[in-house]
Amino acid sequence: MGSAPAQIPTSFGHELRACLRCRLVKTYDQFRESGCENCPFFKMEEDNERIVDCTTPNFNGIISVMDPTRSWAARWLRLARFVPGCYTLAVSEALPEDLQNLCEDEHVPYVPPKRV
Amino acid sequence: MARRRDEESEEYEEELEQVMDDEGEVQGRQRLKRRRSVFADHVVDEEEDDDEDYGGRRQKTYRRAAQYFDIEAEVDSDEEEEDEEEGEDDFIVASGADLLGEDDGGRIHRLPLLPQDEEEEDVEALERRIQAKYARSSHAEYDEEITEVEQQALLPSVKDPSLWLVKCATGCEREIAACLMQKCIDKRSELQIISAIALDHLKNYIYIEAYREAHVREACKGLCKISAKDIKRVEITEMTDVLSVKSKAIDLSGGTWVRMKRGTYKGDLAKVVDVDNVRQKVKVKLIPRIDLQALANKLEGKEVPKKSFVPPPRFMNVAEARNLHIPVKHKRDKVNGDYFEIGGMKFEGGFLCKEEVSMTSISTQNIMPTFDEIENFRKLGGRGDGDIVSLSTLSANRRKAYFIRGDPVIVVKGDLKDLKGWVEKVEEEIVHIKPAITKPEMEHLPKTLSVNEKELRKYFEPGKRVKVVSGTKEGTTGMVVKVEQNLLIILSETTKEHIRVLADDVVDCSEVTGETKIDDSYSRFGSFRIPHIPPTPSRLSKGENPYNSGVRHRRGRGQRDGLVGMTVKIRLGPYKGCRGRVVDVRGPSVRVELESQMNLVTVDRRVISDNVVSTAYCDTFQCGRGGETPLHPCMTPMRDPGATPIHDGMRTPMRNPAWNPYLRLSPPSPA
Repeated sequence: MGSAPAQIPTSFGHELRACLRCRLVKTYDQFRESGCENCPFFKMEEDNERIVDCTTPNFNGIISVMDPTRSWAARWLRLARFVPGCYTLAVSEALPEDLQNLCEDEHVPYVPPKRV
Repeated sequence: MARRRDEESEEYEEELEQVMDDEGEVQGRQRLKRRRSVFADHVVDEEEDDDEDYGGRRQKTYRRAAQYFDIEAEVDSDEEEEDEEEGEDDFIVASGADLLGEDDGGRIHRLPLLPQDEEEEDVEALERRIQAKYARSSHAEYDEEITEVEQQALLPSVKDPSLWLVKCATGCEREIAACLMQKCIDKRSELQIISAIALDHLKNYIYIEAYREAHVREACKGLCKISAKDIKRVEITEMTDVLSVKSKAIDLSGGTWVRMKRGTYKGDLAKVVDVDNVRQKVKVKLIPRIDLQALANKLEGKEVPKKSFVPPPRFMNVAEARNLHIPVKHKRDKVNGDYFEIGGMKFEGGFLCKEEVSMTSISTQNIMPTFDEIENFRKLGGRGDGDIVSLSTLSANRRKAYFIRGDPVIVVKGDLKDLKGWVEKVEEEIVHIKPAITKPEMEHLPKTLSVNEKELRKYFEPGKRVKVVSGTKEGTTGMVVKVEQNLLIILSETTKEHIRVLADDVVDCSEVTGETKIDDSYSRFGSFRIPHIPPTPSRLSKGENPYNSGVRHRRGRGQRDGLVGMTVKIRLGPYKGCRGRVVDVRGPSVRVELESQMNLVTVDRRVISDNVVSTAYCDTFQCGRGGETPLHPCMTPMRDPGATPIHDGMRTPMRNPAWNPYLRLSPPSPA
């Protein structure tokens, strides 16, 4: 395994949330402890209110990516550049605009969810 | 037919092949070369056109976009093309195993991770070429998922790991995926699986991505909830299907409007509060339909007759429940705040909260909440965001508005946004309007502009008197106090309440205007000047003088004038029962100064006390909705023995040089 993996969710109830940019899935408390491993600039561990803005409990499906560099599924889902961890296939909402701007400032890509 | 690559020249190519269309014609292949900055060696850009070579050959499979060839691989792919479809599966399995024996080796053959910019640039070039070349082609099976060329470049190839379907304990799918992740972290390189996928809608199974079945088996060892017995490989052509997410599940989220399909609340609008995708259940809030008395009886053990009717929707009144001795529990939820438990049901802010509602028992498509339904939710809902939702939902679901000639309108979308004017003509979806010239630079605008009805709204300036002709507030007249996008806030004349209605549901109800009045209203539009408008000939019956078509007895004025100064009582309409004094007579209407309200109002002369005709007031002055002609046969007063003959179409004083028989009571529509 290449990079250090993200925290693995410790429970699977309502507290489970997905990051709106990278779709990493962890519990609320885990985001509070160590933020998002792929999106440190959101600083969720510093500003706890950010968690609600940056993550959503509405998501569909879970994929545990052990090796993002070799996974076809991760590539297809555009997760190949992120750290190993548990992700979701799709989120229901887009990142709020101000946070999208933050992504631009940080020169990190953001792809809004597709609406069919 | 092999194409040999010269290994020494170290060319790296990228190839994209078009999938066959339905008729089985080969669309051809295209090769694109890319520079690989990762590799120091110079890459030669060379283009080869393969169309001639593969002119008639059938290809039933798709090929991945990016591929590094070594010679063996190239030969294999060619053979693949030559094979019939039946042989293809075996081939893939065989090559997969052979080529990818060493995991490390696989890496070199992989598409390297390029810096973002380069990837995008190349994809654009790719996109252009493909679009140019295959503009007319139809698409194969899974193209529905592939809407972007970019995505097409990511299709699975023979070099990628396969997906394996593995049976597991129901309800544990997500946990097992996470468990495998943990195992991977613990065991590091011992665990060779690449990823594990738990789909919300698929119970009992998970997918594991791995190069070999043996790797899958090894990974499942020691996990009690997963069975290594039932392992099935997924067809390469079906791999993308595995990862496509049902859009319905995603569209449903907090705040979405849905309708209940069954039970007491069947057909009722409900608002989604929470979604559980795994268990396919939602929590919704509804306006309760509870018969409190029946509930009280039931709880006291009394006999309750089987309900033969559904109670009307009404917000829960906790005090009322308590008065009926229904036990009420007041609780607090750390997430949602206060709520009440009554009769085993949960109420929050007056709404009934239904939890554990199966997704199958709600409709999510084409909900089309009506304005009134949303308004009802607003009443006690209280949350600010509800308003934003309402307005946007309304504009999304707005039913077709009926514009008729003379309606004052405003453009709300497109280049002409904010332009005001009047409707000239309506042709199905296109409305022709006469723009209001408020600035000198607008003089160059054409006399008539065509606007799509979707981009147009009826427009009523604050201060305008209007009447509601549709919805629950139908019949109300009042003055526009405020305009909020598509909504009007009107001060009701009768109830003195402020009501909210859609602009679509309202028509102008101004008093009949004299010359001076017209100038006043135009002053709102700035320096607009009324040209003398001859009526459109096509709307008249032959030979009729437009100025006389509605007027038959000019002499009649003298008779009507006799009313001035008389004290009268109003018999019908919103001012029914009021006494007042006639101050002026204008055509078929009189202006009465109301005794009680210190108000000057206009009423149809027939509703005042010296008249016995019981015709409804004010309706007659509105043009029929959707009707083109403003002439109402029903209002002919000829039947009234006592009244002065007032004639159809006569709505403006004859003195007005701009009089137009097709006018309603709004300012004359300029031609």
